Amino acid sequence: MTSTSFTCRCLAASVSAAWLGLAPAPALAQVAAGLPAQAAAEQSGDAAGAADLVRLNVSGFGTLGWARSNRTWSYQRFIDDTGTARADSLLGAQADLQLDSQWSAALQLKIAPSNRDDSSWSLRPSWAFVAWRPHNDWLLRAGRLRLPAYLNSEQLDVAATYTPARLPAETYAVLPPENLDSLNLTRSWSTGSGEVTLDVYGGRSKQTLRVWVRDGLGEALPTGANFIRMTTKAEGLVATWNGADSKARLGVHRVIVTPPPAVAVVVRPSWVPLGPGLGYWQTSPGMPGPGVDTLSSVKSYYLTGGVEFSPAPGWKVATELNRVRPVGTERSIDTRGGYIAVTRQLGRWSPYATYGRLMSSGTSLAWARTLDETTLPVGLPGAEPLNASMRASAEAIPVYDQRSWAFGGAYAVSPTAKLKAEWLHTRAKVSSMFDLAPGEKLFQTRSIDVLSVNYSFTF
Amino acid sequence: MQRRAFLTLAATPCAGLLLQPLSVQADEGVVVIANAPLRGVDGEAIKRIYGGRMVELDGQPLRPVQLAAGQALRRRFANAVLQQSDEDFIAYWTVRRYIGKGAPPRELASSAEVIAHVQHTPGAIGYIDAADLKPDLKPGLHVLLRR
Repeated sequence: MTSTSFTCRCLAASVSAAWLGLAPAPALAQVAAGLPAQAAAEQSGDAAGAADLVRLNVSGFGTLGWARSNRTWSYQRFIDDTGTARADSLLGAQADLQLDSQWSAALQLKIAPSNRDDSSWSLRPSWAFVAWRPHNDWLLRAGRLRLPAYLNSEQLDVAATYTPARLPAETYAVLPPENLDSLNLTRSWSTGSGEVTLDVYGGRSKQTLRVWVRDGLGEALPTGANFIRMTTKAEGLVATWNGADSKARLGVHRVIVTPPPAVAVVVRPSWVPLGPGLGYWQTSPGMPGPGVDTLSSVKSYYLTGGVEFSPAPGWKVATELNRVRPVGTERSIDTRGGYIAVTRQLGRWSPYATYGRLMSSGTSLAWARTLDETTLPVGLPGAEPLNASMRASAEAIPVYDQRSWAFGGAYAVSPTAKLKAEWLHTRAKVSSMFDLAPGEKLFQTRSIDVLSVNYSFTF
Repeated sequence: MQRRAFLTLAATPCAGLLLQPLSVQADEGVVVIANAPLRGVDGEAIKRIYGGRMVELDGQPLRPVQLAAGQALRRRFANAVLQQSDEDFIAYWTVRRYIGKGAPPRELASSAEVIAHVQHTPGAIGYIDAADLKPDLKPGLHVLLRR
């Protein structure tokens, strides 16, 4: 709301523009007298005229965040016992251009930790779309848009718009809100106190998948973070209710992920017996063995639902559930997750408590455990690469059995800025959000405590 | 002694000037004005217009304007017409902007600018203090709502 606003009058086929609306506020005395200021304003109004108005509105947002855990290994990419600013910090800018009463465009740029490596920052467009709104109730957008999966997906990067220091990973880290080059059609129904919208979208994008490998195998499979470029196609239907004190969202999405040709999607590994009680799992077509069925892409269905409401004055409850179900393979992400958050609003203070739970399917957990714990004797020729391949395959597909409790608070410095602090405790029997050290078992109960402090703002 | 000193102070012209703003604040009426009659636009419709949920009426594009943040009249408009605090209105638009649903109404510096803008801009809607509503309402201005 404090953004800079420029207005110009557009003449057909002309690039000339008259910049208006930048005059300093007249003194109160002038307003009371209503004379010179009003005369100047009338001139300004005349200049605005009856022609179509083009309006450029530029705003910005950001978060300065710091988080530290009590573990040497990293949680959610960056958080360890040395402390990091990378977990939550970012800076962004958005330009909204109103071309006329029906056409508009938006561009959002963001500086944040790169999603192609763990050490650099990158500047990238989050949004770049053209919108056509021919009527109050219809909106068509084309371009780069955020997939509308969760209650806070679209404004996830704008942390000043929500209370928690970090939205629950048990939901928001499972299907990270993706930016799609897409077509999005929205139908709205206004009601007395709110609005119902139905979004239909379809699009594609290039995404980078980060896979943590504990025990690599030379240059072919480096230890640590590996980044794989993939093509994602998604389409879905999302219904949203927005009321004065409530919000609800229900969505079904079909997502097709296609990795590069060199990376095979295995339907299920094949057992290769080497002798009585001895053998290994063939996890890729290139390994010795009878062969494995592969797919060129993975199709999954995502069901998302959530509601946010105020059960009593000063209280807010938010809960979301998600289900990811792959089709045609046992080796893809297959989870159920959700969280519940309770917030108390006390003036500018908003203390909150959150509980999150994320669980992979039994099949998914069984495969990860089997691949991780099947080991050929080290003395056997060729055992080392086979063991490494199985351990890497166990890690390649995210698996979870984790729960988290978070207690925190936000202080509204202004309507557009929040100072937040949070203590998070996560406990997991297995979690692909943990970057484990070489030699560590995948399945072992671990816990981690994270302290986060953030300052989020828009301007 | 202290009471007498206070009475003395209150009787001075300076104290009278200090009290003057109170009498102005006593008339807290807000008037919503538009460039056209816009039949059927009531309080609920104005809430939808300022919330970006209603952008046209019978083919006429609607262009709401508002005063800059922090002005008393803007707070009164938010409370009386939008039925929410200005802080909540700012927070609403902060979210709406960042979910890709447009930008908040254009901000103008004063009631005088609002009157001039509404008078000359088709589809424009604004609000002014009831005290600024002169009997000889300028041509092209129509009162939509008084609160």
